[in-house]
Amino acid sequence: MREGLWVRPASQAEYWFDKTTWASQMTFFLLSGAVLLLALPSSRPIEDLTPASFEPAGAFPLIFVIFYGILALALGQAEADWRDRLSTAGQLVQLLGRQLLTLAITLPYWLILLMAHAQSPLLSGLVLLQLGIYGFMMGLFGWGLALLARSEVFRFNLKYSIFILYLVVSFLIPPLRLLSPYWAIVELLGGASIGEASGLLIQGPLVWGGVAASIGLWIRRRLALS
Amino acid sequence: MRLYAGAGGVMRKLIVYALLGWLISMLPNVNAQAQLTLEVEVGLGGRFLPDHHTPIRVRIIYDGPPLTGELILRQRSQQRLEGVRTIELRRPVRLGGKARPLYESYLPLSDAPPPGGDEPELVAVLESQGHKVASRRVVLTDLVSPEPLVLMLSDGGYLKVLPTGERVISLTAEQLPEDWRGYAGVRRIYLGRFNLGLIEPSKREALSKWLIRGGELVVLAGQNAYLQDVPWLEEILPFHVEDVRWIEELGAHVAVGRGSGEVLHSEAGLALLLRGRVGLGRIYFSALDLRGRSEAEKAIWKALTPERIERPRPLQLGPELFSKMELIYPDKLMLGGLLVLYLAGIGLFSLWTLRNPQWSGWRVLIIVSAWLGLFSAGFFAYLKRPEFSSRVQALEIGIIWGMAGGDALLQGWYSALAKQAGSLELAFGPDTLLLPLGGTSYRLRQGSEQVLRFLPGMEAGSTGHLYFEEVLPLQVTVELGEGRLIRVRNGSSWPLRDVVFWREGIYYPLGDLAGGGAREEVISGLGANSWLKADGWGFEQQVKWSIFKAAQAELERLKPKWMLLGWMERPSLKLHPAEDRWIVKLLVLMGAEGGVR
Repeated sequence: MREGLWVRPASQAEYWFDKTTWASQMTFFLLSGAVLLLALPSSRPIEDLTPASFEPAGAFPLIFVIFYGILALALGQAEADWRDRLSTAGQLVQLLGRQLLTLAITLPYWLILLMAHAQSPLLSGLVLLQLGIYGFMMGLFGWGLALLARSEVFRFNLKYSIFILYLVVSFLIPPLRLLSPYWAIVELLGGASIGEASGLLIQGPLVWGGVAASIGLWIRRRLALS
Repeated sequence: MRLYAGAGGVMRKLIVYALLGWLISMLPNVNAQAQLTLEVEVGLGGRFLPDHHTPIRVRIIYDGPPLTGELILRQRSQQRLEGVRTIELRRPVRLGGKARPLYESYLPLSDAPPPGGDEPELVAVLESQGHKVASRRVVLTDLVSPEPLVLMLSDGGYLKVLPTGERVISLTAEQLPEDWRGYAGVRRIYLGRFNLGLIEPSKREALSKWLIRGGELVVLAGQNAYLQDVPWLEEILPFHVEDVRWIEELGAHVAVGRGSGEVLHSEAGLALLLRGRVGLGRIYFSALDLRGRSEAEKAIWKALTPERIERPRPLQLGPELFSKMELIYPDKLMLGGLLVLYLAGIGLFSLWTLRNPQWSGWRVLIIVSAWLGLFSAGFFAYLKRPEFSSRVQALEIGIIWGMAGGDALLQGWYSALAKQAGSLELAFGPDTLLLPLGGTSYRLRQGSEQVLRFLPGMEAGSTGHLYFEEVLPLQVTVELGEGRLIRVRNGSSWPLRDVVFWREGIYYPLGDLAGGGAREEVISGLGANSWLKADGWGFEQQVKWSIFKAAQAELERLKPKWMLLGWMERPSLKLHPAEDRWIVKLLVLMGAEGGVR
């Protein structure tokens, strides 16, 4: 960690895990792990299999995308408390680092899901990379909201309204599906071709990265002004 | 001005190159305008038994510049229950000058019409550089035979319908298939006034393999015996001809000599009809040529009249067992336990860092990464097992039938389930007979080995089933020594497991026999009445029991004097890295039955 990122290089305590978000993180790990186990198919005779048995296991990615989005929003909001200890750049690095650490801890989940469905374990790297960008965008959005509105109720309503609207609209409207993290993962798990997969892997994260950069710049300017 | 001239030169060059490119792209069309005709002949004497391999001869009459391409034989058929089946065979062709090459291929043609069509058909196409240069459609309606074919090899002297009620198809030496697969729809062949010594070795080999597979050869000797005096036939005939004599009592010329087979009819102190065995097939020897109408000949014809019930091939054995096979997924209990342990570690450590502020920064990252790496490696090691990581789950089972001192016939079944969308390519021997079961489609590429594109464009969850036969050199030998001593040698590279020797209803266990290994045992009186243990009815036991049951049905017909039984895991279709295949094959090595060589 660079010294220049710190406003007060006194204590690095709670840098990776803090008391505010620890419970949310653990709940996320436990719930998504439980959903993964439930969504995994059980061994059974071939005569009992149906075409539905071979459809990509959609429940786990869906729950993961929702829970991870909520957790990313919470991690972003928690950045407001770090203003006294970290510079703006330091906070951006910390937010990205915490998002990625949270995602990295779920690596075994993705290994289990992919390898149990005879998919390449390398796909888990791609999925985590994609989700990392999605999570960073959500984290910045949460941080931005914390800076924008003082009212907790207003923040809560706005945060979840926009989050749910984004997930639903990007999933239901076909031209916007490239922006849906859930859709991209399901397509990847369903054996999308290289061309389709590269479209999903580039276009969605590119837009998320663009949105994240815009919010990041706005946060920077806002913090500089204040 | 110079600039303009230069630009014009570039333009001219571009036009020339474009013209050249166009000419090259039109080459196949040039070939198409050369003289090219496909002549297609299906079946034996213009008849074929549906769903059995049949010869397809394509003669390409060509006059033009050198041409390389592929000859494609394709049939699409609407199966009653299983949807549309497509079978396709591709083989490379090279033509030049005034060529008239003849290509013989074998496909299990169906008598069902294509989707939207009224009549079954076969399409032959010649492609060059991806372009169709000639094609021919053959309507098969009039070629379909409802019954297995019966052939007559004789230059006249016999009716088209024999006294046995069999309708025979007369073939010349040129019309005989070059490969044993061409005889798949043939039940019996009568050999009359026909010199087997004059046919090509490949055709003789084909006949021999067909016999091993379960064909019936009836040798009508009498005055034809002189033409039938060939070493190959001599070796397998259950009768050694010493002379041909006129026997007044029978009013016919009779081949006389020493018999070694089962006598089915005798008269005037002479064995007139004998039966022997070659592999799963039978060979009959008639001492008369049966061209007359004497009482003795009538009696022989009567004895030759085939049983009404045809021996069915247990085609569904593979698909039935495959449906009972379990598709294995990771054990949830074990994964859940490991995940709880993993998360407990993360949770406790993160909690500990909150209470111990000195634990922060890189140290946290390193410890979390080490914990994550440890569990990820553990999960990876468990999940990379073939039953989870393979794209295709497959089962290959079979029965290897061997008669002591001869070749062996392998009857096998291959079934596969696609866990992921894609296709599977399997390679196997050049003369393996391959039959798609149900609605299974395949594309075959023929070269030094056959490459099968199985379930082309398969979707996740789709299944395919094949039945195949192969004639193999028998690499396991049994010698019966003095007293109750037996010597077993496994000349193959595959271990033979759970071997038993059977005689007079008693099974004597010999244990496992490694590849290349040999064993001598004295068969004691301590045998068992059964072979397979009834305990632990897992999938493996079920499969072994079903294969053994299927073999027993055949063994009741064959009545061997003794048998050696064992299990082998030898694959017939080359293993593909994408598949997890479970292989089990029963070896049945039979000793000659009493009274029959």
